[in-house]
Amino acid sequence: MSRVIASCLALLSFCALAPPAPAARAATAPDSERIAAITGAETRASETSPFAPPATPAIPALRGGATLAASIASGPGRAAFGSIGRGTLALGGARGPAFELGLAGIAERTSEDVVRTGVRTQGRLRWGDADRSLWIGTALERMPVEGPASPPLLGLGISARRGSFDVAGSVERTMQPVRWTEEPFVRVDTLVERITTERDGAAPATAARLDMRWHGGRWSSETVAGLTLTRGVTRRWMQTAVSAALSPLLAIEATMGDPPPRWLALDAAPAHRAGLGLRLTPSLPGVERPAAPGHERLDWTVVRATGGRFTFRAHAPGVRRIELAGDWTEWNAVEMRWVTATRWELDVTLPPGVHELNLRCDGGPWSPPPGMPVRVDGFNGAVGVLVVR
Amino acid sequence: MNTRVLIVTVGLACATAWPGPARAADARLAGRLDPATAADVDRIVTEARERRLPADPLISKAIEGAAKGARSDRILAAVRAEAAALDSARAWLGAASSDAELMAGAGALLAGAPPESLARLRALRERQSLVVPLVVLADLVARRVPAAAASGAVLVATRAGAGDVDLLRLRQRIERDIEGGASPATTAILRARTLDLRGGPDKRAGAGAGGTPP
Repeated sequence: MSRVIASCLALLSFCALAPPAPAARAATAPDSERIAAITGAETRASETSPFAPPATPAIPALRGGATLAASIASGPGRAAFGSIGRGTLALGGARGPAFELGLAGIAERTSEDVVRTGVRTQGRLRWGDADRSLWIGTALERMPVEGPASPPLLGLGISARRGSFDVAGSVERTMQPVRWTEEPFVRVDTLVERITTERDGAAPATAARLDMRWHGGRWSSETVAGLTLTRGVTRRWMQTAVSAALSPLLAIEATMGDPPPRWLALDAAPAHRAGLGLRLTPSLPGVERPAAPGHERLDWTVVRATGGRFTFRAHAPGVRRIELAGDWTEWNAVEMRWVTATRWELDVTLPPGVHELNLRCDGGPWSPPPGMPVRVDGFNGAVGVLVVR
Repeated sequence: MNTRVLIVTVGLACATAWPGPARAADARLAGRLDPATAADVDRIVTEARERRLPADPLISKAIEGAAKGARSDRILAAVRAEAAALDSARAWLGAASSDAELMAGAGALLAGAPPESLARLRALRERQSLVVPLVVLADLVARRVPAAAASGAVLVATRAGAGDVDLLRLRQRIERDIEGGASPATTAILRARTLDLRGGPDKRAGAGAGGTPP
């Protein structure tokens, strides 16, 4: 059992390297000449800010996240407790090619007290952006963890996002657990006997998978459906998970349906029909959220009520904590209130005047809220500016 | 006689115990800065008060630096720079400028905006608040729009009658263009010249400014 726990904990190292902010193109010579003609002034680089603050809130250079899901599942004639962890380390831009290194592990204990473990490492090359992308990749699997590695498994997929919906399709090779029977003839003294032996193993399978996700407020759902071809046998499957976020870190999740191949499933326990579990998405010190493509975007809104009262509202998928600091808090960090899975709010009352503020996500660097005017702060950074009249 | 002595004694005690503005600054800085740095900052704040400059931005700057983990010398440099910028902003904007205008003007100057652009903006908006134009100017320069182009853009828009809402919208569009890869100088000037005036001068006065323009 300790090996199971160790396997689970080892899976909590997910990180992803995100792209820097879209680099502004340097002013071309014709641009400079044109501006000089318009303004009657020279445009020199030395005229820019001596503090050189970030032009936009810094998009984290290191992004990542970890998920650890534990569930109890039941199926025909058996029950199981399983846990699965997944993660990705991605290097590259949000637009253009990016390399992703993924690690996933699984541990399951069945009602027959059988422990099964497995680990999968994968590399993917992805093109596109958060709205549309294409990837090609390869993976190695070990089941059990101490067993031999599979041959390199290839995969190809596409994904698209529109509003609250994500759709992804892929064709992937994976190793599918199989049980086969050996019946060799064995000579015992003068007799030849046939001995039947059942063996567990894994065989390569090809899976075509369609993955649809939706999120709204604290609720989200995911459905995977597809076909698996293993040793000439085709199997159809579909599994749905519905989850409700209890906090930015924790969600309760229910799954049902025919289980897909192990690594394409939504939870750990295979061969079951229904499951219930918890999903933990811890923050990692020094590693910036978000964990998925497109999560680098943080939307910020300032809503004014009456009497100098304001509501700061942040929409930040994948972020676990947002703190705000400003002159009115004496630059003490104030945590924003978690409203839904992706939204935070903070109500403040501000006197008239010019106010400065910064925010940070998941303990990362302080930066001006996106979309707000900025000014240099004198400490090699910038602050957001809010004018209250 | 005893009553008079008592009144004088109580009066002296009150005068001694009354914190006063300088002691209030001490209270905000205590525990945030080391004693030597706090004393230096307090001295700068006192000098600023004597020159009738707003002191709150200076104290806030020191606290901000401490909160961000800046070294003491860096904090002092930032506070001194802020005080000098406030002084300079008042010189260019005029003695009748509000504290908010001075703060916004100081932000523009610290970002690298040309000082004379403050006076030109004042000439264009003699009776209206310059806070938002100065905030926009500081923002553009901080976003690496060359100072001459940034001040040119704000002046062109203001001269055309742009109100605060228009200027904030202009700033937002320039920000988006820059993030999209446009040349900061080009987009600043072209956006200012093609500004579609909708808000009008101070049409939305009283609204909070600085976030997403309505």
